Amino acid sequence: MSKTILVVDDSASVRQVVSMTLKSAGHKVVEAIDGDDALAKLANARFNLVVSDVNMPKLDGIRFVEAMKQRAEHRFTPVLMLTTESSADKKAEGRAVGVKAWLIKPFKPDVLLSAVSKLA
Amino acid sequence: MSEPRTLSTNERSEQLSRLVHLQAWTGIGLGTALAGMWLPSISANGLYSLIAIVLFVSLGVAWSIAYRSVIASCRITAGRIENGESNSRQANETVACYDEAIASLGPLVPVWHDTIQGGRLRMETAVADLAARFDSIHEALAIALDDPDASAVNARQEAIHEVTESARAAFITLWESLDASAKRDEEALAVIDSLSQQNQSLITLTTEIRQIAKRINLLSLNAAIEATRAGDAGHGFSVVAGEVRALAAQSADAGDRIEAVVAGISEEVETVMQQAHANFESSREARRANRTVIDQTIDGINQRFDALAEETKVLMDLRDEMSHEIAGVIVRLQFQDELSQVLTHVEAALAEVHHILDSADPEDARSFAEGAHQLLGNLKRRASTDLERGVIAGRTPAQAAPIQTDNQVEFF
Repeated sequence: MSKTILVVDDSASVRQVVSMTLKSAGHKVVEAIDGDDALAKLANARFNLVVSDVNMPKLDGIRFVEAMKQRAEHRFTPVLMLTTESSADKKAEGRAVGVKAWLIKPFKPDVLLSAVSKLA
Repeated sequence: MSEPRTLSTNERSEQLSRLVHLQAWTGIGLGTALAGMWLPSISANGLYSLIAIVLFVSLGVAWSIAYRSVIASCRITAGRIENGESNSRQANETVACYDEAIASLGPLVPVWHDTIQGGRLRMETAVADLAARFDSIHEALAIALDDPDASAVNARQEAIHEVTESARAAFITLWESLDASAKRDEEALAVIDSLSQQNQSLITLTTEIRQIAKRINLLSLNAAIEATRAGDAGHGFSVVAGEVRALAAQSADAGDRIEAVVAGISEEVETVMQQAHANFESSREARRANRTVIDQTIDGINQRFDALAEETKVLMDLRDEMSHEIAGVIVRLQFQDELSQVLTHVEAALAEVHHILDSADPEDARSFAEGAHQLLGNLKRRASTDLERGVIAGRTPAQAAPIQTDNQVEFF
């Protein structure tokens, strides 16, 4: 079943490959370049899932999820972190703000799609 | 006249050492000589003298030993003083070198920073473009090969076979109906043939009738002659003979007319027979040829569709292989993100180094050291990859972050 997914990453190439993977499975994708851009996109649409990087300029992924969860309409929107961060401390930060899953780059397309099907 | 050379501390200590050795051995030698002189006449007083001599010699030896240790200490001290003087000179030279190095490195750091930043931005642009092109290829493949899987292709192939076999069955039914029609034509020909034979029988009968009429005519003539010979008694018979002759003539005439009609019918029947036979043969040949054409056409259609299905399967295999390769490309392209992060952190570190070098006070080495220490702390704080953390901790890049491409999702 097709889902609407918000992809947040400051790297254009990462946004490209994530979108390509999700679209090949029939999902609809909206891209954001950082946390601030993502919050603006969230204000105008509903999403079944958010896939976000952690290390981004202006507003990093952890702070973005924290701000997103304060909005009633997105409090229960699942979030998958897609990042190079593997430290236990960073994962704990993510879990504390409501992140549901953590996937370390580089990802394989089938692994990402399997996670999307479970979360969204 | 050259000025007397000033002796170094080591040279002075060597001279002093030689003087002490001379003193010591002189004392030992004098004591031994005295002992040699006095030993032969040892008395009580001589014993005391001998004891004095031994004491003198021992004192000389002890003095020598003590002086040797003092001289050694002096040598060590002299060495330290000389080293201290050397270190002081070296320290001054080092400070000067550091100042020169800082002055030289200062302008280099921004160059390194800008070069790395420029390279990183070019790499990011190129990789983003590469990713977009692969996206286009992937999309084109998905459109070109619309079949979801092999089972759909097989289902379509079976449907096509059903259609072609239905067409074959329809053609065969038509052929069989034509065949049945041909059989009825054959039966009709047989009937016509039978009619033709009966017609011949009619011709034979009319010939016989004409012959009979001719013989009756002859008999009537003979009867008329005999009637004439009989005179008046044969008058009645002569009339009868005349009537019989008339009937014979009528019979012969009817037979001629029947023969003419039968001949006409026979001619037409023969014509029809010939045409019917010709049409029948032609139709049979056509039916045989049509059956062959039908079979060849249906078989040709099936072969073409089978070949098309094989080509579709080859394309699907190619699509699956391409999808696998594209998945590998997707994994490899993501390493650019890690590299970009590392390079961004290196750029930030170089900016800090430049700031430290620019604001460093040559007279305040502590501030320089504190800046360097803060630099390391910032490196650790900024590190966002296993590679950076591992290298900062002293591991090699291969040890810090072995390349992994099978990362799994961790659910919370």
